[in-house]
Parts: sequence; C-alpha cells; structure tokens
Amino acid sequence: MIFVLGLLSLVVYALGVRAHDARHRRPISRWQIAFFAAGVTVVAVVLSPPIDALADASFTAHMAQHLALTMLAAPLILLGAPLRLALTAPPPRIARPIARALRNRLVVILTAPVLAWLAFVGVMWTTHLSGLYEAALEHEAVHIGEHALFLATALLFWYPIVGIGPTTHPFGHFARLLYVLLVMPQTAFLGLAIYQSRHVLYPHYLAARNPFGISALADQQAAGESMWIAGSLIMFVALLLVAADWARNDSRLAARIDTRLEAVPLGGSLLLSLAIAAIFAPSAASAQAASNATQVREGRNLYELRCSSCHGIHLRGSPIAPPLLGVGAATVDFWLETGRMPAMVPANVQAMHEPPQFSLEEINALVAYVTATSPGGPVIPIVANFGPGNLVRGRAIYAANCQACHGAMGQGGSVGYGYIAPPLYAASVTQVAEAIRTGPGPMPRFGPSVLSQSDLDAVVHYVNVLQTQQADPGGFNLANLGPVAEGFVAWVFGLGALVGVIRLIGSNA
Amino acid sequence: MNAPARGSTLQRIAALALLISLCASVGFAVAYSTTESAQLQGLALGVALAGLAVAFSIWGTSLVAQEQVVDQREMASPDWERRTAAAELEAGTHQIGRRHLLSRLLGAALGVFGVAALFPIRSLGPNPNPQLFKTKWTPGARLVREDGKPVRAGELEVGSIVTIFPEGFVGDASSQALLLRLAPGTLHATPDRADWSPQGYVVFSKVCTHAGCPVGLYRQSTQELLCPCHQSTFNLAEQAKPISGPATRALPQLPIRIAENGYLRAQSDFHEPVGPGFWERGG
Amino acid sequence: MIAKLMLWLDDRLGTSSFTSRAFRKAFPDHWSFMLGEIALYSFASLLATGIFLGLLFDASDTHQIYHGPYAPLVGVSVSGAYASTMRISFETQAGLMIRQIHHWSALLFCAAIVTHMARIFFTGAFRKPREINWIIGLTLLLLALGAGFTGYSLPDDLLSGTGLRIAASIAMTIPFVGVWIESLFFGGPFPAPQITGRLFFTHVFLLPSLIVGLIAVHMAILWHQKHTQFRGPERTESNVVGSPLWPNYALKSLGLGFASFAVVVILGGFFQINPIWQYGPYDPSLVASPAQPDWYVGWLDGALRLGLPIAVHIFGHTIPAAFLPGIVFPLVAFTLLYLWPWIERWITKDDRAHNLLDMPRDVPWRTATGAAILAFFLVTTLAASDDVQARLIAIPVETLTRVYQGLGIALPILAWFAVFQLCRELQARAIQRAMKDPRIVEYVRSPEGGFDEQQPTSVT
Repeated sequence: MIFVLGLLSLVVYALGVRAHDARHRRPISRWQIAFFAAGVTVVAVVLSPPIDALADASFTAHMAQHLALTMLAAPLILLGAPLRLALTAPPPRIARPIARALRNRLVVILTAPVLAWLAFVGVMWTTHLSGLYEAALEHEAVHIGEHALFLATALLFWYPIVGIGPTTHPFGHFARLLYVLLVMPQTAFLGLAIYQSRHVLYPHYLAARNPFGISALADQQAAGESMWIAGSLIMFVALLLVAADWARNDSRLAARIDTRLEAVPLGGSLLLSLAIAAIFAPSAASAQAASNATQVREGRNLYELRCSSCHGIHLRGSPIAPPLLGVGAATVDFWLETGRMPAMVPANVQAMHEPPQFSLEEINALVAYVTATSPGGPVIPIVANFGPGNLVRGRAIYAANCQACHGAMGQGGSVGYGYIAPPLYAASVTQVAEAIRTGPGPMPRFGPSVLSQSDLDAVVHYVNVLQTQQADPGGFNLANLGPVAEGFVAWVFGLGALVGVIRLIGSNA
Repeated sequence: MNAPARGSTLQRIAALALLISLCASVGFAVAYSTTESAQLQGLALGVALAGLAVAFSIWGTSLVAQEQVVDQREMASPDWERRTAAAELEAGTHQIGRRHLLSRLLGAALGVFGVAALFPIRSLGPNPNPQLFKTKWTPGARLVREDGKPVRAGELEVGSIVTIFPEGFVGDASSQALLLRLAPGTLHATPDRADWSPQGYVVFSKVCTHAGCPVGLYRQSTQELLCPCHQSTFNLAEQAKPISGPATRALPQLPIRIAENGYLRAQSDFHEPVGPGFWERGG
Repeated sequence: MIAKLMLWLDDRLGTSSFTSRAFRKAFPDHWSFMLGEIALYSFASLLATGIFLGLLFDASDTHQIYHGPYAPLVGVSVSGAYASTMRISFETQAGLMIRQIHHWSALLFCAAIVTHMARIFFTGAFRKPREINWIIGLTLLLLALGAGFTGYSLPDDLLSGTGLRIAASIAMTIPFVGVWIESLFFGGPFPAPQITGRLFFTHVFLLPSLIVGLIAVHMAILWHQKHTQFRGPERTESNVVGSPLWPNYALKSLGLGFASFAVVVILGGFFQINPIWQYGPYDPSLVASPAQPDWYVGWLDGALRLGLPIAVHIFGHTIPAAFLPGIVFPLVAFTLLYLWPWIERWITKDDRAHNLLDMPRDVPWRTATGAAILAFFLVTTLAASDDVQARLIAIPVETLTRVYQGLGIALPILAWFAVFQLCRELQARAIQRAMKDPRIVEYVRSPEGGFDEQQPTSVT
C-alpha cells in the first residue's frame, strides 16, 4: 500500500517536472528531483512491511523508523520543493486555486512557524508519554494515523527551516536559528526521559519477541539513546547549515529566498548525517548453580583472566584498582550483577547500572573465589518477606538515609563532582540490600548496627514499592523532577497555549 | 471572501462547541459523582470550559459586526482648571500653615505618634539572640539517633553516617548533627581539636552554614558532605571546610568522647553558633 | 430583561451616563494587549479554587497521627496543615484536581504577569502618563510572588519547609536587624510553630486583599487613561481606535477567560504538581534532592547557588555571603525596575506624554537593555536547577555553576549587543518593505524641467 502511494507521488512529481520544464526556460535541477525521490524512497522503505514488522518487535527499530520519517524523509521531501512545483508547473487555471488555498486564513494560521514548532514538539512528547504509542502498537489504524501525524508535523516543522517555496510567514535567519536551537533540547530530553525510564513504557514490547535478543528495558534504553543522539546530531547539523546560510546571505535583506542551489550542501549533509546510533548491550545469559570447589576453581580462572590485570594477583590490588581483600560476597556480587565491573568506563567516570557481563554462574564462581581466598566482609544479605507494617518504617528509614541523594521517589540525583546517585528502578531487591550494606562508590555504607536486619527489610521493601507501585493520582509525574518541570510545563504548555489563543482572537495591526 | 457562507460555518462551529461544552459539563457532574480520577474530572471540566471559550471567541471575532470605534483622549486638565485647583489648595493650606507654632507641633505630634505606633510590632516575636548562640548540646549529653537509641563506639563502620541529636532532644532543629566514622589518618585535626574525634568518630553540625538546609549528602569515597540546596561541598578531612559552592564557613564540629560503657557523649556544646551567618555572629 | 435591570440601576445610581459611553469604549485589538488579561483570569481562577481550598484547609501546627489512605505515611506524626492537605488530595471528591488547578493557576499567573510586564517595557507603555500603573503593576508582581511562596509553603511539606528555612536564613543576613526581622516574621527562631498560622493569614487575607485592591486601581487607571495603541492609519496621540467594548471586546475577553480556565483545568487534571505525599511532612533534619522552589522564585535560588563564597567581617560583625545574592540583588533589580520610567526620561530627555507605542525595534537601546535584564534573570533561573541538569546531561554540577557564573556576566552583555543589532536589522528591513509600498512614490525632476513619478529605488 505504501509502495503504491510512494510510486504515485513520484509519478505526479515527474509529471509536474515535465510540465514545468515545458513551460519554463530553466529546468528543475537534478538535485531537487533527487532529494524528492530520496525522501519518498525513505518513507516507502521505512514504512514497508518488513521494517514495520521489525519495529513491531523492537522499540529501537521503531524509534529508528520514526527518526527516519521525521528527521530524514521530511526535510528531503521538502528539499524537492513540491509546493513550489505545484505552483509553477500547472497552467494558471489550476495554479491559481492552489495559490488561493495557500492563502486561506486557516492554512496561514496552521502553517505559522510557532504553531509548526509547537505541533512537532507537542506531538513528539504526547505520543511518547501517553497511551497513544501503545495504542498505535496494538491497533494498525491508530498506527497509520500516528505515522501520518508524524510525517505531517515534521513536514510543517521543517518547512520554515528548509525555506524553499511559497510562504506567508517570512522567517528571518535569526528566527530560523532560534527555531532549530530550541528544538534540540526537546529531542534530547525526550530521548533521555525514555532512556532513564524505570519501567518498560509500552507493555507491547514486553510481550514481543525481541529480534536482537535483548530485554525490553535494554531495548527501550537503546531507543532513548538513539533518539537523543541521532536527534541532537541531525538538529546540530541543521543548525550549522542554517548558520552557514545566514553567513552567506547577510547581505540580502529579502524575506523570501527564491532559488536554492545553496540547498545542495544542506541536503547533501543531511544525507551524510545518517547517524542513527543504536547501542546494543551484550546479552546476559541464563544462570546455573555449581558445586563449591569447582566454583572456586572456576572463579580463580575467571579472575586471573578478566580481573587480575587491574585488581592484581591474589586480590592484592594495583595502582589502578583497589585490593579486593576482605571486601565480602555482597560487594563482589553487587558490582558484578549490576554490570559495573568489569569496568567499561575510565576510572574517573562513575560506572552505572548495566546488564551484567558475566553469567550468574560465573558471578557465583567469582564470589566463591574471593570469599574463599580472603574471608570476611558483608555477606550477601537476604531480604525477608515483606509485611504491611514494614512500609511506614521503611519510608521513615528511606527518608532519613536515602532520599537526600536518591530523591524522594528513587529517581536519583546529582551528588556533585560528576557523581550521580542512580535511580533505583533497575536494581533487584538483593542488589539494593547489597548496596546498602557495602556502600559502593560514593555511597556510604550502613552496617548491621546502623540498620538492623529488620530495618533493612523495611527499607528494601519500601524501595521495591517505589519501583513497582508508584501511583500518580495527579496525572503525568513529569519524571519526578519537581518544580523545575512544573515551571517548564506552565510556560510552554500553559502560557504557550494561551498566547496561541490571543494570537488567534487578537489582531496583528 | 464569501462572508455569509463563512459566517454560517463559523456559527455551526460555535454551536457545536457549545453543544460539546454542555455535554462536557454534564459529564463533569457525572465524573465528580462517580469517579475519583482527577484526569477524568479535569478532562470533562476542561472540555466544558474550552467549548465556551471557542464559542465566545468565534462570536466576538466573527459573528458580530467587526467595527472600529474611535475615542478621543482627554489629556491633562485645561490650564484654567489647573490654576483654579492650585489656587484653592494654596488658599486652604495657607490658613493652616499660617499658624506656625500649631503646625510645627502638629507635625511633631504626628511624627512621634507614627514612631510609637510601630512599637507593637515587637510583640510579633521573641528576642532571637540567646537562642542563636547555643544549641541543646550540653557537656556529657549522649549522642542518640532519630529513634532515641544512644550510639556506642564500635557500632559504625568506616564509611558510615548517622544523624544524631542530644539525648532528650530528638528532632531539635539547631542541635541536629552528623556522626561519621572516618578511616584513621583521614582527619587532619588542628591541635586545639586533637581530642575531639576518638577512634575516627567525628561529629559535625548538620545545619548548612550558607542558608541552613540539612547537609544530607555524603560522598563516602571522597570524604565530602554536600548540601542539596545550593550545592555547597564540605571537606571532612579538613574539618568540614567548604571547598565548593557558596558556603564560607566550615560546619561547626562537636567535641565528643567515648564514655566508660562505650557510649558516645558530647564534651560540650558547639564552640561557635551553628547554621548560617548573621550580623551579631562575629568572625 | 437586561434593559429593565439597567433602568432599575439607573433609577438608583444614575448609571446610564456611565454605561452609555462605556459600551462604546474603544479597546485596541492587538493580541499582545491581552497578556494582562491572561493574568487577570488566572487570578480569578486562583480566587475561585482558593475559596474551596481555604474552607477545607486546617492552618494548624498541632501534630496528629495520619490515618488516611496513603499507606506509607499511616501512623506518622504530621501537622494539621499537612494532614488537611492530604485529606484534600486523597479523601475529598475533586479535591486533588482543584488543588492542582490552584497551583497551576499560580504558576500561570506569575508567567502571565512577567510576559505582560515585558510587553509594557518593550513597547514603552510605562511612559508618561502611565508611570503610576507601572508602579502598581510591579507591586502586583511582587505581591504575586509573595502569594505564591506563602501558598506553597502552607502544606508544611518537606520541600516547602526547606524553602522556608532558606527564606529565614536570607532574612538573617540583613545587617543590624536581620535576626530581628526573622524572629518577628516567623514568630521565633526557625522553625517556629507560629509560622503556619501566619502564612495562612498572609496568603488567604493580607495578600489577596492587596492584590484585589491594586488590580482594581490598575484597571480603573487603565479605563480612565484609555489603552495605548500601536501606530497605524488614523491613530494619533490623542485618540484611541479599537473594537467597542460591547459586544465585541467583551465577547473576545470572555473567550480568553474561558480559554484560560480551560488551560488551568486541563493542567490541573492531567499534570501532577506539588505531590506532597511524595515529599513527606516537614522535618527540620531531613532533606531530599532535588530541592528547588516554584519557578517564579527560581531566580533567587539560582542567585544563591551562583553567589561567591565571600563574607564580610567588620568590627566583629558579619555580613554573610548570602546577603549579596539574597537581599542586595533583588533590591537593586527591583529598584531599577521601579525607577525605570524616570531613568528612561533622564536618558532620553523626553518629558512628553505618549499614547502611541513604540515598536521594540524602533528603540534599540531600550529593547537591548530589557533583553539584557531578562537574560540575567534567565541565567539565575536556569542556575536554580543546576543539579537536575547535572544529573540529566552528566556534567558535574560544579562545572555548571562556573558556566552559569560566567554566563551571568557574559550573556547580558552578549544579549545587549545581539538584540541591538537585531533591532537595527529589523528596522532596515522595515524600511525596505516600506519602500515597496505602492502608496509611496518618488517625484523625480527631468532635465527638461518636468516631474515624473516613480517607485523609490533606494533606501536613502
């Protein structure tokens, strides 16, 4: 179906080019035709059944699909100047009604750059953060509508930036620069919000079989990262091109720019910036148990192979890594299970929670080796079953000891010098308990005489409730960012909407 | 533009908006009575109001004759009127001002009355000065945690932190303090504080010296305390001296000792006022 | 029927002489003149929702055990203020929605005032004869900030209590009288139990009555002086051209009013704001990250974060570091704003009355100065969330602090020059456009002595 539409649009465009060339002395440039064809091709390919099926199973692929649609196909299509062709190709009796339609008050209002910007950003945010995305995944009709909406808002959004063709909204260089500059944080923040999310946003992906073999949450994180990186990259390139354009054109004071051979580098660079990064984390294998002596032996082998180069022989440490003597089973288990070790980042960068690089069996082996070689240190804590009375005490302990760094809802926080108290949503119950007992990295430690076993049970219970049962009766929780996000929403959505209203009902004279 | 045709379309839109608004208002009444969801209630009420907004806006911009009226501005009053007013004022004022002694006494009486009338403001609050210079810590007071349990030496590992209060004053805002256990050799104690921190146990006031927030963040690996309000960082090794952010003074340190049965006790109150600075505080 | 009512009123109050002219009063239509109305309608929303909340709120510091439906707090000792706010949020039908509408209206109220004030500034509407309204408007802004601050401090939760502590500390930095001011305002050294009742009285009676009164005066003066207008055909300094109040402008204004209500209701229903159950009740020894005030106080918090750690010691007394960003900065900034009409008169030597507005591009130096002031406030507002940014974009907060400190100096200067240049460019472009206006013709004399009409060919 999409192929038919794509082919049809190419045919219409070709006919238009023929009609235009017949009537005008200067033919349509090859670049322009190429851009349009490329844009339509991207749409057709990206929305074709095999890619669609891939997007159905993987959030990252779906994100790539949307990015290609809104940040690649849309500007490419616009670089083909279809609207200008629609006005210059047909004979006047057809072109005139088209021109009149473009001057219609409703069309003028709807194509206002401010509205286009708001629509683009608004559609992006609301589709991702509301039930619409999930509904689209479940119902094909909604999905088609969603793609149409994305493409439409993207075309409206890119129109003032590309700047070719008829417009009733003169848009100067400074404004174009600001226009692109202001959208950059939007894609970045949304991508980051998706990346940071504690649970899978769209249950559809939990049920789907991931073609890359990674968990739904890891897939989602990769999707968020792609949006953030690719979106920022493409917008940054657009920014550079707009700035270059301004530098070239600052001698001209015309509000409309007619011929766009300069569009060539604009389009070419866009094509080159096809940097849709999808980072795929290595997969975690399943877990098995093994007997103790063989475990210790296996652990020693693993240690000498993977750890000793930094942590020294016999756990003695080295100039670049601390000794592991007497650190305890909990420490080893925590760092390995949360993927913070083996270190994938430089020593001065804080390691964050990643999928583990060892299997559960290998982790048990390493734990056995370390505790056998150097006994002592915190054992792997066992968290008892939760009782109802624990919740209030858990909250009180959490408030007194944890929320200053990790935030009132476990959303994480900055603790200075580039360190972050991470969000608590990804850690298992045991990992939370281990972290409390061992104090990894900048985190202080809370031993049994500071937090008794029942205290530990209570606070871990409370963290578990934060992970699984956060109810937000007031609506969107704005990523638990507090007054910062609230102020942003009040200005952008509240005042923004009302300024839109007064622009509509007031006059401009 | 075909005005009549366009007008009737807009009229239809306005009518539709009002109809939707009507239904939404009913919907709000239903939602209020049957559901606890703020989202449903907000949606119904919001749509009801939006429908009215659409209708009024269309009505005001398109369904009434769009005309412009012109008003003339009245600038300042005409000259003769200004002169008359000035003359009347002067005539009356002259009669008052003529009596010099009386008007001077009047001015003095009103002035002194004004000053006297301000005195009751003093009743709004107590003299703050005594309380600013001391906390509830006394010599020998036991260190207790938030649940009232006293702290013994040996209970904290190196790298642990606990919020403590003087015994009997749990929750007291100015006495709140942080008990930490530092690794031996970490703390570079000045000679006058040599015996303030036995076995690596050290106590600092939790009230930030910048704007008074509790200094709740502890970076154990770099031995620093961080205040979340304005990001002041205090270096524990140098007796909680501020090394980053807007704070200018170190967190006051509480001298403690280990008593016979292992309980941690304060030697005295803080040696300086806790919390943010103020005029009377001195150097 | 309404006509009968008008006659009834006229019999008693003689209103027809007023209404006969009022209904045809001209109101200029430019969209930017409606920003103040957004503020007005947000305030109306605040009053309506505020009455509901005020009747349900318990302004007491007396502690009680919480027994409501929010499980993690059951059994915790909380103040009456916190307990009643929890009751409103969880146990009162539509309570949470109305509470959220109230708070969103407050954020919108302040945003609309600032935007409206910016419009007044950039178009020169504060000039004679409107200096009084400028003063009143600025005072309304300060009252609105105060109402917002006291309002969100009412529930006695951890986040707002932390803000109160900071406010008390800032008060204490004032030389000579600081600690006394703090004690008299709060009823004692922090935390004083009297503050809950005082906040309630201030927020529910003192400030709203002042705001209502000043709004009334503000609008009466506007009514009497008539609105300003942009230059245009048939518009002069001594007339005002616009839509008649009845029915045109009244209908449009009602449309805007209902739109404002719709916006705050949608926000209040769908966007969670100030979830006090997450923050928990105030405890002076607890704190949570991140810790920010509402956006309209953000500039002050950001200034405190960016403040240099320099305290002044004179004759055995201290002026703490927080004095400069916390007291001096707002004092200087607002004094500058209050005095602006007279500062501008001193600079331009222009004593005339102005009823026609400037296009901002036509007064480049004023527009640039306004942009610089806004840039400074923007930097301090952004700096208030530097730890949130540090977490989200993985740059150490200390680095961000240095960046914002630098921007605080550089951005206003850059903004001044950039906006000045932009105004010049816009002016040039406007002249270019005007040159293409078919109604403008040049007359050129030919060598033979005749005159010819032609379109202007150059800018000179």
